[in-house]
Amino acid sequence: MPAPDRRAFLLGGIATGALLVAGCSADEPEPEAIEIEPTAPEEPDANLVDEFALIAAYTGAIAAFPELRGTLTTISDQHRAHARELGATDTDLAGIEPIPPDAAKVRPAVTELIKRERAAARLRADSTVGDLDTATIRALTFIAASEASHIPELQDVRRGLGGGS
Amino acid sequence: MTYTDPAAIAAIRDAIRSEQNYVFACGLAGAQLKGGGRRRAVNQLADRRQRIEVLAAMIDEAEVPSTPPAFEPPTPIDNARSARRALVDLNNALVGTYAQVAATTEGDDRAIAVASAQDCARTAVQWGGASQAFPTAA
Repeated sequence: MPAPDRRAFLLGGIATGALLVAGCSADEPEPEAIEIEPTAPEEPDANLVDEFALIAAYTGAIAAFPELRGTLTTISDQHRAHARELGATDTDLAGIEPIPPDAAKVRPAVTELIKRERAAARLRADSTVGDLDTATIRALTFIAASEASHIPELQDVRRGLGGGS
Repeated sequence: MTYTDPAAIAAIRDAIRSEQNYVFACGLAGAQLKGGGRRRAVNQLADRRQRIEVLAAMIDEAEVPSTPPAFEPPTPIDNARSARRALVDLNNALVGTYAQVAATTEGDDRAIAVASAQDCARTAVQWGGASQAFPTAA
């Protein structure tokens, strides 16, 4: 007989099921075994992770090239709005560390952002495939469209830099 | 696939009407634009007519709205600036229209709707609009 004040939760059997033994005391019935279906570890949402990476890349680019702060901050704020729509919290957003651009010069750094936006637009569009609820499809379509629109906006920025930067 | 779900039919009909209006607007805008702007407007006439055909193929022929005899733009198109502004707004409005088509269709048709939404948002920026987190008409 277990100790009167014992409270124990035992989890086991990752592959075949878990057994939970819940509390008991002297005047409580014998512990009851409950079968719990195994659950796969929750995978992070690829779109949300990608939005975090975009925000980090923009933050890094703004730090490296403050002259681009205006346009890049506007686009970065839009990615923050996308991330919130996908479930990010203010705490999540506050914890994003900047990713410095690979390029030391501004023009190739903008090209890096264009590539990231192109990949993001593709990922978001691909994510609308399959059995999803209508609200998710609508949200991903809006975000995919927004990210596609960042490409010509950044191309304009790059054109404005001329060829020598 | 021919959709019979009323929500899908309504969304597709709405997209067809919006594209028909956009074709009219391109014609009106083209008259006010010069050079590259006019060429782009003319090119978009053909692109959007083709898109209307793709949308029309998704529903029964009887459900396809006929081309209206004219289109009154929400704001007058009477110079190059207002022409660009109108094309920005119509494209941004189409993003939401296509999001609804995407939400009510499936497979390749959904992919077409998403790609169209992306194209409209991109085109709005190319006409001089600013990008938006969730593109919508001003």
